[in-house]
Amino acid sequence: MNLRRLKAVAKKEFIHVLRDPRSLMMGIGMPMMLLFLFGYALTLDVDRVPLAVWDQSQTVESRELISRFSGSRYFDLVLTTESYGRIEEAIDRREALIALVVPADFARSLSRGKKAVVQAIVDGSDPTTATIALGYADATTAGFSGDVSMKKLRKQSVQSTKFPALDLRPRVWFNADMVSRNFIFPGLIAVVMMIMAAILTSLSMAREWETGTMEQLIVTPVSPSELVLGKLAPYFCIGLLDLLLCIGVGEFLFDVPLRGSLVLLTVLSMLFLFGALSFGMLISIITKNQLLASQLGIVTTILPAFLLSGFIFPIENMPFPIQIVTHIVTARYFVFILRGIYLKDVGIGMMWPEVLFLAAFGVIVMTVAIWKLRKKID
Amino acid sequence: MIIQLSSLTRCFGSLTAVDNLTLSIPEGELFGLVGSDGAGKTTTMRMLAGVLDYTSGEAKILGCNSRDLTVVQGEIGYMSQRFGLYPDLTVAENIRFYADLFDVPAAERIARTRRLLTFSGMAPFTDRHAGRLSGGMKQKLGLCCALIHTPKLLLLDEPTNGVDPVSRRDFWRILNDLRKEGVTIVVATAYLDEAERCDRVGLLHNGRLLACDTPQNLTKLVKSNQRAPSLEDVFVELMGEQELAVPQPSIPQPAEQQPGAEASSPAVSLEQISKHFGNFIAVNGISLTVPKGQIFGFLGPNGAGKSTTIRMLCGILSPTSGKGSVAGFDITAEPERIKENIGYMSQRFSLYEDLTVEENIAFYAGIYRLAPDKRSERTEWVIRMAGLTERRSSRANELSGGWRQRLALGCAILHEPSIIFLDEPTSGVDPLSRRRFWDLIRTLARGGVTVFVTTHYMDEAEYCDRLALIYRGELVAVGTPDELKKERAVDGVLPSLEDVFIGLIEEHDRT
Repeated sequence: MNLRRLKAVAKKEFIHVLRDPRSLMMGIGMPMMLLFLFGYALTLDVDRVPLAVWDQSQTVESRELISRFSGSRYFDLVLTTESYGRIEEAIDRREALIALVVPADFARSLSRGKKAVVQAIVDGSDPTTATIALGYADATTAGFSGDVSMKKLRKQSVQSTKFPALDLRPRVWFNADMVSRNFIFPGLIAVVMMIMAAILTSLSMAREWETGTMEQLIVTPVSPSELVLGKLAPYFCIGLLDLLLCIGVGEFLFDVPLRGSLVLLTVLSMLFLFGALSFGMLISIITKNQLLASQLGIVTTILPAFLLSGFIFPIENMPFPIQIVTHIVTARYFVFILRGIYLKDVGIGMMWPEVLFLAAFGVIVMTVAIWKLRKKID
Repeated sequence: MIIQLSSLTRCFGSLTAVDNLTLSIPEGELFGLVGSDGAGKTTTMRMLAGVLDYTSGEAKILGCNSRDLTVVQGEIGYMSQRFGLYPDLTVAENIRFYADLFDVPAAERIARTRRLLTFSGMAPFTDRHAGRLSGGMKQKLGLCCALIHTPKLLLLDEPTNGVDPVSRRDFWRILNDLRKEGVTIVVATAYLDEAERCDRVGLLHNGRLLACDTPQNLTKLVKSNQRAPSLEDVFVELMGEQELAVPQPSIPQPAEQQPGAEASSPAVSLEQISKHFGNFIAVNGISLTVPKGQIFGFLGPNGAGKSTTIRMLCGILSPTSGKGSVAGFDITAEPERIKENIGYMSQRFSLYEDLTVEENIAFYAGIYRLAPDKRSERTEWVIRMAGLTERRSSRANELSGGWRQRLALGCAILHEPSIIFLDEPTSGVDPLSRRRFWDLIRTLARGGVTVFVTTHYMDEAEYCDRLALIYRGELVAVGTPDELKKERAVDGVLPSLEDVFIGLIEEHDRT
């Protein structure tokens, strides 16, 4: 390894990047775009579910139940109607996601101490939202029903303090307000860095082949390791810049709290970046063609980073064979590390298997890349 | 011996690109490797540079096996066909990059860079991006990069391909200076006039070395009674022996030409035509007239505006100002009518490699909407003309350069146009095929077809009825080859067309 040659390659590569507005755009513009797009648009929180109501009972009790719904921050009463036809229409048009039908005998049943039945119609075409909306509805009716029982008991002058027997007092850790952005954002950093690293580097070596400069490089004493490492240098810097931009945007724009150590976060991100860049480089070396390289880059890095890293879709919910596959997705480990540092202030002691994997991945892929870069045309 | 090859062979699948090559090149020699496209020149050069491994035989370069030249890498300078320059780096940055890779000490680098830049005339352009250099300048910069580490052996793969005569002459001056310094040079080229300047020449054809000797000895191989035979005659003769099996195509006379819009109007006429691209003036006020049935040669260095002019004539580009007509149709008002009445063949040979000869012809017949009864007649005509009767079911990529070129021409004139535009139709084609191609062109012209052709080969320019020289977007001279020569004759001695060309350009540069 000759330092001067390494520097010469790195310097040349820096010039390429700085003089090519497209690669700067890809390296910095695209990650920022992804960050904003996902940061703002991707939220799993179901807030203010649009609600339609048909109150057949028209009593104090039924109105009290409905006001519990409309008064909660989870529901938004958009329609009061008097027919199933109108409810159907509202759900078809997605004006309402959930409809509540209070039967005519609602108040009577309650006063007689019988079980009162309330119908909830949910649009199940989006199961995630439907499940959450039902959960909210369940909790709201449970609260109402608890209060009704209390009132009854009180009327029967039983000592109120003894009831109810069980009261769950939940305490949510790490993401107390359960804002999904806090959960998504750290994972997003991994996806953004993966995309940037894979696409930029996958083009770099292929471009040398396409412009015919590779043939010229072969006849110089430059070694494969000097060439590969020198080429990585500018992309490594762009990657670090992206990381800082991500952390900044998270801190100041999205209010995502960084609870853990910034230094640890940076160091481990560098480790991940090294592996991702090496992987892009390996693709570039194997394909020798920019178009093929960038497509292969998308398929082999971006898709897994999105789908199999646990960034949005929980790995525990995947079928077993796919769960096994996720183990070779580096982004999975990095998402875990990022969430640990961001939300739980976990130290390296708790994450060493993941860290070890990232390190091993980087070293192995880099070695293969250097080994695959034969200085021959064939 | 600097280079010693014994039975060197390289196969790509079933194709033998270089076949049993035995050759030695002593120190200080300027060796020319001559052959057409696909002859095996590039494969040989790559094996000499250690970029490509050989299949069998042996190659020793500076005493080292060419499979691993790590030890002597610093002694070898190699310039590939594509020069290996980074377009977004400046001239100085490109040189600096290669100097660093060869670990040239700083003081030596500065002195050597200065010397190379002066010697190649590139000194005023050190801050220009390599991508914005002309072909000739790129070639010189490529040479500077290949020489920055003072190699003992210089390998050049078609360094002057597509470069104008002025730059070519400068380039050979530089090579001569290098030879005087004792550098061994191997240069692959398709230009036979360049080969005549080498100490020894190897004629390569279909991967085999047909002959290898000094240019003087080689020309003795041809028994010619009228005039001193050129290397081209040698090549054609030696190849002719090889290709006896190939029947000389019989050239059918083209069918009667339909008269254009007006029978008496010239085929092409241009009046003060200009084309600007932003601030850049590609073509500046050109006026031309080409009568029917003439072979009109359009010459000029790369970037002079030849292709822009041809594109305007074909109705692909509209001129910024001026007017013109082709085949009686106005180039701005009726470009679609022009396209129906002309044939166009570019240097890239617009054939589909994975289609057979017949399928290619059928495709173009469809595009030109040939009537069904006409279709089979024209197809037969093209196949006979190109001499492809036995290869009508072969795929285009299985054909050699000469066949493909004739097939491309056939496809371009399938619809019997009255004018054909040929943009460097013979670049990279072997001399024998070039001669056959020009026979075809002359036959077509005799049949009344107007031929508008651009070329870099000066010997081809001699075949034209009239010539126009274009330089930096301006028309420098027009006339028959003899007229042009007479204008610049010194003491009654006619200069060669190349000298005329270079003289006119230098004159234009001074004014």
